[in-house]
Amino acid sequence: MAAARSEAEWRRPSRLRAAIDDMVEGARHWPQWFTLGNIDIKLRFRRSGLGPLWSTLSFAVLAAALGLVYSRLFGEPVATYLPYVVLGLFVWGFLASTLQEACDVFVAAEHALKQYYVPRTTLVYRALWRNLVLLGLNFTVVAGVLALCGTRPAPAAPLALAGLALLLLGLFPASLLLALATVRFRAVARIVQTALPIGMLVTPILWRPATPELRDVAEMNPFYFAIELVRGPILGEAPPPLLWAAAAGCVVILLAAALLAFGAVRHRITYWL
Amino acid sequence: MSAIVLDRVGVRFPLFGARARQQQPGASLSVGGAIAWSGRGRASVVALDGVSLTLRDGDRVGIIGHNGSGKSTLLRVVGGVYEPCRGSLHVSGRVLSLFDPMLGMSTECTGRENVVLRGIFVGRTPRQALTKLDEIAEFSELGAYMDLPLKTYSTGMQLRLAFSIATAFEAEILLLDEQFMAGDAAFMEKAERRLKAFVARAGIVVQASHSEQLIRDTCTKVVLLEKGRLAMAGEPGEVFARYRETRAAEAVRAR
Repeated sequence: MAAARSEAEWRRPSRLRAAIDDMVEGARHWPQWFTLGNIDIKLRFRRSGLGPLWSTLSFAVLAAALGLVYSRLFGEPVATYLPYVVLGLFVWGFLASTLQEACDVFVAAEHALKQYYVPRTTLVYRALWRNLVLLGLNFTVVAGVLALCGTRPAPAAPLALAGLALLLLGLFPASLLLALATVRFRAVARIVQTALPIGMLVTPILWRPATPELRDVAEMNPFYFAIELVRGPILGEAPPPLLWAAAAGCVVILLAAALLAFGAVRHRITYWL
Repeated sequence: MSAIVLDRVGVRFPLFGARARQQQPGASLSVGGAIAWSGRGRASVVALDGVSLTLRDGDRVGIIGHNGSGKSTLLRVVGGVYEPCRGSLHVSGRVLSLFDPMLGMSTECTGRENVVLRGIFVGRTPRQALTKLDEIAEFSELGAYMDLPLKTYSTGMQLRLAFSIATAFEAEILLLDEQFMAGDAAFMEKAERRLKAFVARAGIVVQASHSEQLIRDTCTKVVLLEKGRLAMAGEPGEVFARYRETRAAEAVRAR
């Protein structure tokens, strides 16, 4: 029964190749992650009356509270400040919860991963999809606030979709990196949990990068690129081309890093769980 | 045509956090794989070591061995859970693992949703999974319960459903870990018939078990693992003879 074969005959495909195959295969399994993501949302809000609208409601309350209080603090009219805050929080909430949940992607699926083969990225896409659904629901709040404040979306508003697409393109590799890192070093989830609230305060969400120093701080912050590329076009402050380039650069770096890391440790995920 | 070829497959599990005390020289363990130490005091368990095996269509293979001899690990390597650390693996044919009957199921979801969930984990789309719904509802005799959450089921009913779903999705290669069967007596008989028919349709079946009777009844080949190494592979009769010999020898040594 035993067979001795030469190494060459059964040469494994390269690790990098296997990583790319996993991403493609995972994407092709869209009915799977689409359904898993939807079931996740359903289970998270089961028997809560409003269902996933709870997340929308809490977003509305947060945006209203912060908008009203900080407009006083900064001495800015609510009608211009509230749309700014609601758009910033809209993108930030999505970004932050996606990054936080990314840490758990493989760890939470330990039992299944140790019994069946599933393309690893299926689980990453599922978490992204789940957060994207909640983002879609939150958009109703954004639309409501803009209407309430009489803010007409600027002609360049459709560019916000390009900003959002770029954000998604960056969040996929970022999620994958965090998911991989947490499998090996569980502390990563704790670090992310600590870092995110700080990230929210140092990023221009509640405040405007109005002075040159503040602008310098903002322009070194990838979170700012993500938010401004969605917020700016809608509020009629079209982001400069340099900002698009910086964001695209971040996406390219993240994609390259994720591909290398995934290639290097994809086959070790189940060993580390 | 399904086939499984393992060539000098080795699997080692790193031990994190457990910087276990280095084993005393000379101490020998009768259970579990060997513990390997790297220069820096890092430990890993050698679960499989140099296992070569070729299985072809029609093979019914039983894996036997002590606790921790690597039976489950071998099944999981073939199932694609663990990529071998050394050596290579070649599998052609769709693989289905029957390890945990409740895998991927959620007690908060309805029976119908669980058919979909489970289908997803065995690589089916939700639509493909739902084509099996009627058949599963009929075999499990759960009827109207299919639209209620699993937590309203009794334990026996949950297992009925789990078993019916698990054996609804066909595969060329079946991997069975021991203790897959369960349920009430009347259902057991019915389940056994279904499992037999299900297994008969597969190209290759690999099962790990401690039950000599079960393996003699269902397998044409037996593989004996000892501490992660393939000690012997062949006809059930001769392999079991060898297995009993080594156990007797160990019992003498232990005295």
